[in-house]
Amino acid sequence: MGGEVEIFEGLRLELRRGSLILAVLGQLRGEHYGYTLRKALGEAGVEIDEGALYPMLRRLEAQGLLTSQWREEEKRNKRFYRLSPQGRAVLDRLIGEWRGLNAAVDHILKGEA
Amino acid sequence: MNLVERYLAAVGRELPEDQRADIVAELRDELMSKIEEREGGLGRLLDRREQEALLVEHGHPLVVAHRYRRFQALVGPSVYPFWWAGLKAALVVGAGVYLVVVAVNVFATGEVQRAVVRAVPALWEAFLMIFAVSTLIAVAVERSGGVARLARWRPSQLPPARFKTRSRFDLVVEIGLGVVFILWWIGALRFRDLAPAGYGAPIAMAPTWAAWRTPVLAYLLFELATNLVALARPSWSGTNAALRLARNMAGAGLLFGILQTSPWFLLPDPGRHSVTEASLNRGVEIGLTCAALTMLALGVVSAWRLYQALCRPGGVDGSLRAAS
Repeated sequence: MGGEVEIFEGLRLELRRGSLILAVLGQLRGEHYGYTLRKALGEAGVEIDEGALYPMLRRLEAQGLLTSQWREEEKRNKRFYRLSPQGRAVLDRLIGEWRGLNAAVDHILKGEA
Repeated sequence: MNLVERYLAAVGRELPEDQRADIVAELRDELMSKIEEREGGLGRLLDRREQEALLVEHGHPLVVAHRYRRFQALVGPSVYPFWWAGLKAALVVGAGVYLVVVAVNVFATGEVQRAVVRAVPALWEAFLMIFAVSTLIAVAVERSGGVARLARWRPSQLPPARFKTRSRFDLVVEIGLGVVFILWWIGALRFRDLAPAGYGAPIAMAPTWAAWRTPVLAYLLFELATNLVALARPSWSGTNAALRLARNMAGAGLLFGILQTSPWFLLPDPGRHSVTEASLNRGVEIGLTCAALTMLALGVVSAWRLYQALCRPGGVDGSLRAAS
């Protein structure tokens, strides 16, 4: 049974990994800094490890999908992220992909039931 | 806060210099926000043990810093299959070369145990060197993005499904050993240098070989070329079978020619040996005869394969289709 739990956990992580970028991009239609972004995602039901989140934000920014700005808030310097115009265009396409895939998988799963 | 600063300094040491300050500042804000949230929940400051637990939960500094690196693996999953195939082939060729060296040593000294004892550490060193060099090449391919070039292929280059082709493993081994033999034949590689100090050659090649130097070299180069073609274009089944047939016939002809020019080896110091020059050459004659007959038998097999390729529906072989 231990093996089954491990297999499930591995598959669950794999399943979630691809959708995390979509969730992050979607959440950054509004401005956030890292900590509030992680909290907002958590409250929406998408838990993300900070060790994965911050490198992902930098990668997305390097790809031109996000813009960032250092600003002082609550007496501390914070880096605020927001979707760039290019990021918005990519997000719209990804949403289309996501909905199509979701509908297709849902259709398959309903057929199996 | 001392622990947090120590943690951030440890992470910072592993980060690229141009991004260090920026990333550390962002991590500091994240950690301070987490600490403040927990302190807010508890209604008091976190003690040292609780701070330590929070930092452990955040991740080992090396792991945290590594996630900001562009390359997450030395050899990634796209390069790995090529690295593994190349490594296996290189190790086999290396082992083949050492086998020849050990055989020469045993033949020269008659001391099996000593030759093996000398060869084993050297073989491990060679394996480690092959592993290191092939890994460095794979890393270079990974970093340069050259995997796209490696992975470029066409289905027409694959061998026909029902046609038996030689394995890449066999071909690589034969090419490796062929190169070693050519280097020895032209004098670029001298196995006697591998013999113990003070060792004098117990057997000398007879003058008859001077006449065979160029024909044998030509045959060896032709053999190397046919193996390279078979390795690069396994789908050219007809061409490969024809080349192999030509090679087998040329090899058999060469061996039968050499057979007519005895003696092949001389014993410069007959007193050192338990065999006479005549018995040595008699043994060589038997060996050469067997080799020539084997080459003829292989020629028959190659002729059968060429016939199969010619009879296969759809043309002589993939070479014509690939060229068109």
